Amino acid sequence: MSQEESTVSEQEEFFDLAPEDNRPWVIQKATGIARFAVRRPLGFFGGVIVLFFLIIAVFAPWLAPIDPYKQSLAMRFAEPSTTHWVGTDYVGRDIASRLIYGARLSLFVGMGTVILSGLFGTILGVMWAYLGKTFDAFMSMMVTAGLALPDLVLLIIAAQIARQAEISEIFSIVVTLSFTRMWGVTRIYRSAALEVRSRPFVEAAESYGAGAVRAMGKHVLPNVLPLIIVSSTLALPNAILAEAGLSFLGFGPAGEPSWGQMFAGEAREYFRRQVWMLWAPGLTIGLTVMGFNFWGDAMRDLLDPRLRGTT
Amino acid sequence: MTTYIIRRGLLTVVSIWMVTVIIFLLLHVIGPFFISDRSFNPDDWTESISYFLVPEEQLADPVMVKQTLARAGLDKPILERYGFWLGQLLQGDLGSSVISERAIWDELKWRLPVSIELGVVAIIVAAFVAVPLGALTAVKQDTGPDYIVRGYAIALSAFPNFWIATLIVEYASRWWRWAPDIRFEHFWVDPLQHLSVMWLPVLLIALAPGSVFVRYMRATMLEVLRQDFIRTARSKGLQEFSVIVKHAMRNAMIPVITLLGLVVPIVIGGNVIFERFFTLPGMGKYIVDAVGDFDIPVIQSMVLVFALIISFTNFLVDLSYAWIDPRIKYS
Repeated sequence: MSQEESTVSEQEEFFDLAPEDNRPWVIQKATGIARFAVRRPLGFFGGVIVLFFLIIAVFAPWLAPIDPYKQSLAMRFAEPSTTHWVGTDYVGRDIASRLIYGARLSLFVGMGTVILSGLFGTILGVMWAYLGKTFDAFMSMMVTAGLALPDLVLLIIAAQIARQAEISEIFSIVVTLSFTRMWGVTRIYRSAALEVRSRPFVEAAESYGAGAVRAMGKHVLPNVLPLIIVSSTLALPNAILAEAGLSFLGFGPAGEPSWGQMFAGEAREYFRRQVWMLWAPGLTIGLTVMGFNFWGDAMRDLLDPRLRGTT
Repeated sequence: MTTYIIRRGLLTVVSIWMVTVIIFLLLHVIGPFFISDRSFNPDDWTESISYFLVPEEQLADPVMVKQTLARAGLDKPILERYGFWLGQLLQGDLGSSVISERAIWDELKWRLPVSIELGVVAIIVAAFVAVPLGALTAVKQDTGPDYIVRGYAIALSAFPNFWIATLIVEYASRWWRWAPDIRFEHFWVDPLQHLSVMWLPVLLIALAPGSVFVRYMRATMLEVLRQDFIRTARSKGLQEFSVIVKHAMRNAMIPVITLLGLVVPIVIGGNVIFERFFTLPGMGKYIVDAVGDFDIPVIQSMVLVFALIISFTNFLVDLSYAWIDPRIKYS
């Protein structure tokens, strides 16, 4: 872990506390990034993967070489070539294009889950730390119940309801994942908010007559923010994995190219003809999740040194 | 301690009641609300739920629909339906499947042991392999063994275990013409056959908790190794092995117990995936099949059973933690 220790100068840089620097902005940033790359090669590697993944997901329609839905019996099991980068699958769809569109789905599920669960988790967590006894009892009840819900099972149910009702399965996945993940988030943020609240500067603000809302918004929330960023970065890959698992079970968004679904179901009979159907999606999931984890770990050490080594 | 146990127990009971409300809302209110052709009519629950539940070919026959719904107590108004279910539950009756008409309790008697065995053995295997490995990485910090074990742990938490399973099955059949045994027998019927079916799913389910244990054990072990009593133990001339095993590992293992609450839901997810993958007759496969058929009584009882298992582990974890660290019960 020695190479991952965050130094004072690094935190100074991050929070803009370093002595004034007159070099051009671009060079300042470039040297900063270069230093980060040298000190935390894994974190930098993770950051590169995350960036790559984001670009692919956002610009999927322009980057994908071929329509990911287009089937072609003549082109079944094509070998990797310049047109089909990793070949085609058992109905002649281009695997590379499906991977690129799959990034889109993964990003949407991951981001949606992190944002929704983060939003509700923050609101509930900070309120829980502040509001009185009745709310406290209610919340500890809700959180205990929420943490007892088996998430994969609820996901399957929600996806099936969505399929039957012909509403977007992706939407139902995001909502369900957020609902099951929200409670853990709430509990973490509550204890962070309680800790911040007991610090002298919040007490001072309250003694000057700052109301609960002002104290929460102006003093507690900004101090919980680093924790929120870190735990969101580390929660995103979990949502991606959950979606992949759901799709693997056959309950994912129907017709949508999804990483988990590409090597499941019918595809399993054809690995001998096209081995990339098995390798490409698995490696993609693994690399992406690893990238997010490395990046999240580096962010955590930087933003909140107290949490170092907790995972 | 007694008051803490009672308070925590009450919380568990109330939260389980809460879980029944959540499942009920999802299956009987939110689901049918979307399905009933988006025209929400509170008097029309029966119609909307029949879309949800009754096989398509039966929908045309109102008599059959009525019968199917009545059997599961689903033809009543919404609140009465909840009361019916809760009353059933309090009498220890889980109801019966709408599709196969078998009592859920009878199915559970066969399926629960399979899932519990898969889950518990997986957690035990993971703990026995991962806890010493985690301690090893801490002792050999920043050397070869540390990097290798950590690398494996990081990879295993990133690559989905169902993908690893697919790889294993595919290449085992290609290279050695070996296919996983799926002719399931209960242990008390044919122990050898049972083991030959179960070993691979157990190992695969153990991967995810294993990588969690390794990383956590390494972190706590590093912390413990830096503490004064370890230095004392070394300076009084104890052998390095006994310092590490008797003094450091024992103390580092305590916080790992709390991970159980985190690990059980992960293992349940593994159960669901691998019982389907290897067609094992456990609860995971039961609920996946039930969801496919919209078998509401089965779905709601199975979610409840899973929730019971998770909240009971959480309860035990909290108790053990309060027992280890007495400050907790006063906060």
